[in-house]
Amino acid sequence: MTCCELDTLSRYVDGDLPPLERGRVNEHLSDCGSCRREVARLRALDDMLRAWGAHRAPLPSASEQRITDTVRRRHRSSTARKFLSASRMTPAAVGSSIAAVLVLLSVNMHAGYSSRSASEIAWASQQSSIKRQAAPLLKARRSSAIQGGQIKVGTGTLGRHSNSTVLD
Amino acid sequence: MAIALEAALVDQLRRQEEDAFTFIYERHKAQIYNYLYRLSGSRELADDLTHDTFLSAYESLPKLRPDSNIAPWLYRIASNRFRDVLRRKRVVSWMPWGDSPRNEAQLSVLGGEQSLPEQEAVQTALSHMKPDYALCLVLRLAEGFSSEETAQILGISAEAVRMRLSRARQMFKTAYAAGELGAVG
Repeated sequence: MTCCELDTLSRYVDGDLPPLERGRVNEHLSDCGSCRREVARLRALDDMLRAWGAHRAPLPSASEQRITDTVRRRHRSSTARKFLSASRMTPAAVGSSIAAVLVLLSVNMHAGYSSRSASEIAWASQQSSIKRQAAPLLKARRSSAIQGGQIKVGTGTLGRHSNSTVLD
Repeated sequence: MAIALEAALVDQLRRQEEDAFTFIYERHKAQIYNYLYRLSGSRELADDLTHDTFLSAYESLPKLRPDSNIAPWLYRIASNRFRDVLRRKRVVSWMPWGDSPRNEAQLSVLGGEQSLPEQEAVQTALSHMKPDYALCLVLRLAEGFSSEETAQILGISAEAVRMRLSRARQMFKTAYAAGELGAVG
């Protein structure tokens, strides 16, 4: 039976008490035989466990081999996994990049082609219409058949605007 | 300097460099094996748990925190593997030392002056304690970790370790005395 709390004596043995409290316990121990004996018992117990902990058996060689083998296997497979994932990543990345580029190109080409063809169609249609209208005039000029600024084309008549525009 | 070396080692370990792992394995294998042997009291179980501990350690290398201390980290994994066994097998009380007395006699004693009966008495007393308290006692006294390191290993606060240690000492004293009485009776 001690007059100090066992927790306090345990902390005292561990050196975990704050200085002031440690001083008080020291004072108390100088007067109290039962607490001194308890502290001695706790220290003996600690020494016993430390001595018990000082025993060291070597890891059996079979166990060591097993652990080494397992870790090496894991390391190899992990390295291989990293390598494989890296190799898989490159073609995948390249493939997806190529696909993206192709998609972009095709979109651009399609967009370019569409816009060009629309304007081309308009341009060609305009050119064709002009050529159609101009053809008799050109023919007439080549044959010097222009008379008085008016040329009979079929049943219709080309006016001044057409003449100036087309023939100049 | 030691801190810088430890930090460099942790950095290499996080990249799963085999040499770094071999280094910590060589440095800690006997400690971990003996710790698990002390806890389990069985050479075979200690073998298996040591294997599992280092395997788990290797697997969790990428998750190792840069400010980790290697020894407490390994002990934490080992303690968790041991707790897993306790949970799985519902082994509430531990087996006495060794698979047989001859196994224990094969131990090459590198320190301490305890006789085999003394070691067995310690083991028996621990086996009658609650595992969490016994773990605390073994880590703090037999393995020589500080309260802070023990706290890190057990995943509790340092203050909780101090409280647990005080209680564990009383439990051990009672169990040890009971063992002595039993041996006398």
